[in-house]
Amino acid sequence: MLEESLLNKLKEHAEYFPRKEQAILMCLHEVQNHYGHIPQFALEEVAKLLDLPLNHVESVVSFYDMFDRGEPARHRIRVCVSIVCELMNKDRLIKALKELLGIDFGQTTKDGRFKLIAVQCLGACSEAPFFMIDEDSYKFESKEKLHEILSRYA
Amino acid sequence: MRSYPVMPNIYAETTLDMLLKRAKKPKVHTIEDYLRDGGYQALEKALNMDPQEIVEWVDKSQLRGRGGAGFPTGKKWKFAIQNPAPRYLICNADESEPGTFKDRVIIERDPHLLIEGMIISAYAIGANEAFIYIRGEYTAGYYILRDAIEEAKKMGFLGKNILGSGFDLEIYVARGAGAYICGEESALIESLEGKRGFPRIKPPFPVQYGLFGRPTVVNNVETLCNIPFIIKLGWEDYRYIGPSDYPGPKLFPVSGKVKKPGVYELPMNTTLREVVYKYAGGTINNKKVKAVFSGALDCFSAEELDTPMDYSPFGFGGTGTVIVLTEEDDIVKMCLKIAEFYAHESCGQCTPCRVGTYEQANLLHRIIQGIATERDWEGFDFVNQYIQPTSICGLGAVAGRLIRQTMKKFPEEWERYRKLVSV
Repeated sequence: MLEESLLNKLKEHAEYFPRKEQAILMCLHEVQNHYGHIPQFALEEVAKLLDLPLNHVESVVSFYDMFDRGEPARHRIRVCVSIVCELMNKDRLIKALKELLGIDFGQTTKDGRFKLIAVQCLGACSEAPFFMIDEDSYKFESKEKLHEILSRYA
Repeated sequence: MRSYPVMPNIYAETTLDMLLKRAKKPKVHTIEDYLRDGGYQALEKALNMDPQEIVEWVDKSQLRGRGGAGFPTGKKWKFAIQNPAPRYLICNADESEPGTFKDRVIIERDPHLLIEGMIISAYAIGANEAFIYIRGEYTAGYYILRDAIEEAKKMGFLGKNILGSGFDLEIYVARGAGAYICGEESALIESLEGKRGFPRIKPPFPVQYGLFGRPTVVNNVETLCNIPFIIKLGWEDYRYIGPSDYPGPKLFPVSGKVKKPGVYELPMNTTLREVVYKYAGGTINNKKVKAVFSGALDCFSAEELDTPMDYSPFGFGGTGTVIVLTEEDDIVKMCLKIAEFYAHESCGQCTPCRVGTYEQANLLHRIIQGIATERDWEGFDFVNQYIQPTSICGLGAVAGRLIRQTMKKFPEEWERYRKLVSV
């Protein structure tokens, strides 16, 4: 069962759109924000709420990159590995992140705090090398500054 | 005011003070800011016009779609209104091509310009429901748009009987979830219906068969932001902005090896050279420009810096995305980044694109590692030509394009890798 507060949020999304099946991506974003990934039982709850077959929800989850069925993490760090960040030496950022967190792409820190994810262009190329933590956007400046930013996420 | 997720501090500059009049300042402009600058006056004027007349004006303004294809906006609207109501308007805010971040500054800093443009456009094409589909990674933009729509509703610019005109409109905001393909209009529509973002086979086009099977106009953010100016100025005066064949302001997101990367609003008779040197401050450490990539679409060499930033056959075209590479950069290695992008973003629906983009990246990787055989080179040559004519949508159609252009324009760069052929 989903927690009451989360379920209410999902219901709000379902009621917001002219047709409730349109709320599927919004609902999945909420689920992931809540649990740090998308657990199996939540797929069934979303399917029930939106009157969709489970296999439809599954097909949607597996299509969209931002949704994560793997190990949960409290915060996800998305690092751009596209052309502009490559030109602007994204490897400095990646090296600093790996050193500070002790993990590689696709991995989660032992305490479940951070997951490191390589992504395509995040659309802020004048700020390259660029990364996001959850909903926040950052330009990489130095390892020290990065350390300070990471400390804001408990 | 509520607080939003941390936004990037993108530099923005304008010589025209139109689309970036407010957005050049890194702040979320409220409806009060917008009204102080004469905001929503174009809407008032438009609601006193016949919808058909607005469509005529937009057609005569020669506005072209700013989302990449450059299709005339008025023509698209005319196709749509030939088909019976209900019709839908969708704003494509799924900006995701490498190097492209122009729509973002308007969404995050001047949402009411977009909303006013959408209300006028919806009125013109006879839509009572409109949608903004914003990419999942533009988190702040989503909340900003939701709040701005509430502000507009309170002022009577949205909802029932807008400003006493009898016209009703609701605008809904939907978030994507990390799929570049959803910027393709039919894939966007599928996604907005709550499905996988698989492009549809066309025809029928969205203006005939779009959202829920109804006639639908899909316009880019920047395109819709031009509409209030066309109404305010009148189509004749609008056409005096920039060159007469390609009028109106254009946003150019500039990144890569330049001193002042950012978004520049300029007329389209600007040249690529001016964008790089006059506006973006020239290259870092004054290195020689080697190439400019227009997103993941086209490659221009240093000899082509006098290209006009317009939609003519030899113009810069596309979304106006400028990625600057200098003498220090390896063209072939940067082609790998482009190939990886397409491989990653292929939706997987059709085989030529799914397999072709994967093989293109895979073989290019071997080429760069120096382990490609003659057969790999042949395969690479074949695959990046074959994806184009056999794919369902535009992604496959362009997946090999920039790479092939670099082979023509930088043969010596490719030759270096050819010498590494193993047996």
